[in-house]
Amino acid sequence: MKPHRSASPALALARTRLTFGVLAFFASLAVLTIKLVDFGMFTQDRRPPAERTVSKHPVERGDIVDRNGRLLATSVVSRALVAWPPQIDDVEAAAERLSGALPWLSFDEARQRLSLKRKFVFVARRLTPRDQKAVLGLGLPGIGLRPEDLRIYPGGRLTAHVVGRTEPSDGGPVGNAGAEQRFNTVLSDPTQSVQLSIDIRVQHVLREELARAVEHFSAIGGAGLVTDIRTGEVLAMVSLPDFDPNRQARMEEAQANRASLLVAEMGSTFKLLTLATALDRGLLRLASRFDASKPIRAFGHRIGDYRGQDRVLSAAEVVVHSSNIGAARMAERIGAETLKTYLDGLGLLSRPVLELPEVGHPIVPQTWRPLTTMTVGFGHGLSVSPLQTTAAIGALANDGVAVPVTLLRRSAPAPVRRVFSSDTSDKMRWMMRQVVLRGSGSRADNDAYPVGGKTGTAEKVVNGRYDRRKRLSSFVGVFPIGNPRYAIFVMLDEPKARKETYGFATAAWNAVPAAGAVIPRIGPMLGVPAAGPDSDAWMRQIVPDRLLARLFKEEEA
Amino acid sequence: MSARTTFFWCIGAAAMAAGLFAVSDHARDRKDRLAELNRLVLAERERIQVLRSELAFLTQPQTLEFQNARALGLVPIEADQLHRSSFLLARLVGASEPPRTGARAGRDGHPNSGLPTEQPSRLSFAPETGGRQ
Repeated sequence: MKPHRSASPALALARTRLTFGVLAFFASLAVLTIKLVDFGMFTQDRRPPAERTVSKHPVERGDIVDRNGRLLATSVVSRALVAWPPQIDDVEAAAERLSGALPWLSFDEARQRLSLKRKFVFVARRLTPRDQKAVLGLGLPGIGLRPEDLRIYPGGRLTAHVVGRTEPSDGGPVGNAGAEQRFNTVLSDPTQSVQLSIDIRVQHVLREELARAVEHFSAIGGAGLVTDIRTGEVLAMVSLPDFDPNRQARMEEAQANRASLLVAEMGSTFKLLTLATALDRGLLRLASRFDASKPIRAFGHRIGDYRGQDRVLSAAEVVVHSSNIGAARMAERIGAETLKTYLDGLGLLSRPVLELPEVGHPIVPQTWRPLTTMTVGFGHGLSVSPLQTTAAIGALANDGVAVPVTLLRRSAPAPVRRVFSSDTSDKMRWMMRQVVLRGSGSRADNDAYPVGGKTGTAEKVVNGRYDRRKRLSSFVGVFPIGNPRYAIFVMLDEPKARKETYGFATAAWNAVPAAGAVIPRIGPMLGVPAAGPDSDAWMRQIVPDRLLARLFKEEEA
Repeated sequence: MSARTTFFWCIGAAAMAAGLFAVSDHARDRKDRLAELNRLVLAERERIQVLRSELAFLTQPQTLEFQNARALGLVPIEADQLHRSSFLLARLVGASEPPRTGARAGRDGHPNSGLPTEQPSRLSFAPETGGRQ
């Protein structure tokens, strides 16, 4: 049937409207369908940033902890007082109200900060919650609070040189000393933490006793170390004077780390290494004789003893009486190349690898003349750090095996290298014990933990010359020496003589007692059982009593 | 397209729009709740971080030493309070002599000696006198 002609326009109009209506309906349906699919499938990716913070850490930097998990450095969220100067109409009034709300902020300081021709300025940092409330209560336009990381060091001075510190930067806090600097990349991830080998309890005892000695002997500084000679882990590292990383932005020169950065001639402690080298090469025996009756005059120099015995000494007596003459003769017999080989094996001729930026390069003579070999034999002419000295003596006692030192807690054994034979190591442990029993180390001994060690007193070089009044006195020891486990090093920088030391300022009178005070306190902390009676019985297996008369003059009687 | 079909399409579209609105509204509520929870989580973490820091300050050795001296008077453990577990065993079986410990054991337990390491025990063994006062 054909449509009626007169109805045709109306019908066409209705069709058109219907078509548009259906199209509009399907368009709306399409939009709704797209939105529905979008909502169902892609909503997660379109969440606003505020909703994606469920995994966000509140701070920007990871923690540093000691070997037992105690916090050494951590971060908390603080608020800084900030301002947008262009938005402040009346700077004077704003400064007045701010200084009124924050008593510690002066009007002049606030005005100066708010007057800066910048879009954004920090007015003050580290606001307490009370301060924050006071600022928000003012309701000042152009003034606000901004969250920022506040790095804090619960130990303060106690671990200052090891942990170091940070300084603020645009990209967050950046380490500028110690472990903070060395592990800056790791710590920049707040989910990561660094576990050091330091035991904060041992660190506390070492620092306390060292500070006491520094004060008592009016020294300008001091250094102390405790290491586990079997694992190479540094359990304590102290340097005085120190600084409070919570307050001080940068280290001053006098506060440099004397334990790892300072390099100096260590003096008589090197005699142990000289004797060990000679014994290991079979160049002499403990009973070998050296003429120390008069000073050596060689190559235009004089080598004498501090308190000479003025007689022929056995090799054992050379170490016990700390004879420079005897040690020089030993070194002469060893020869430069052999001595260098052993010192290099102990890591004394190159910069040690330690997880700190503050590690000193040893000062090694460029040419080893015969005189150099002789002086190095008693610890002069070669400058090394306390850290290197401690590691070397630790290797000597650790069955002759050198273990690399580390400031990180070890989870697996480190690669080791043998420097001395077991036999040499045993003899040297016996020798170190003799120094404590008969020589200058006696004040380090105690009933519970038999100690072996060696003192060293070296004059400092000032303007290219040795200064008799400025000394570095040190003691390096191992305990318990019968079953060696820990090495300890104590050094005082320019200690002064006192009445009770009879005018002496040598290591036997200052560094040794300080080490002696530390050992019985840290032994129980480290779980070392007491030695018990006849703790030196092991020594008779190395040198029988009947042979002592051949080694020591006083035994002859 | 018949009027009935059109009517049902309209009803369907309206129902879908209403359903979509309800879902959107519910989702918005959830989003707000999630954002609030996130803020709370972050605030809690901040508080925990502050508490950990305060605890670390309070448990510093120097602080504990001072507080102990002020209020408790405890003394640190001493060397003769530490013994190896083998020592206790020897006492239990009635051995007259304690086994060699510490330095007396010589090279026992040294990593390079090839002998097994004897772990020290933190057991505090009370002597016949009744223990330390």
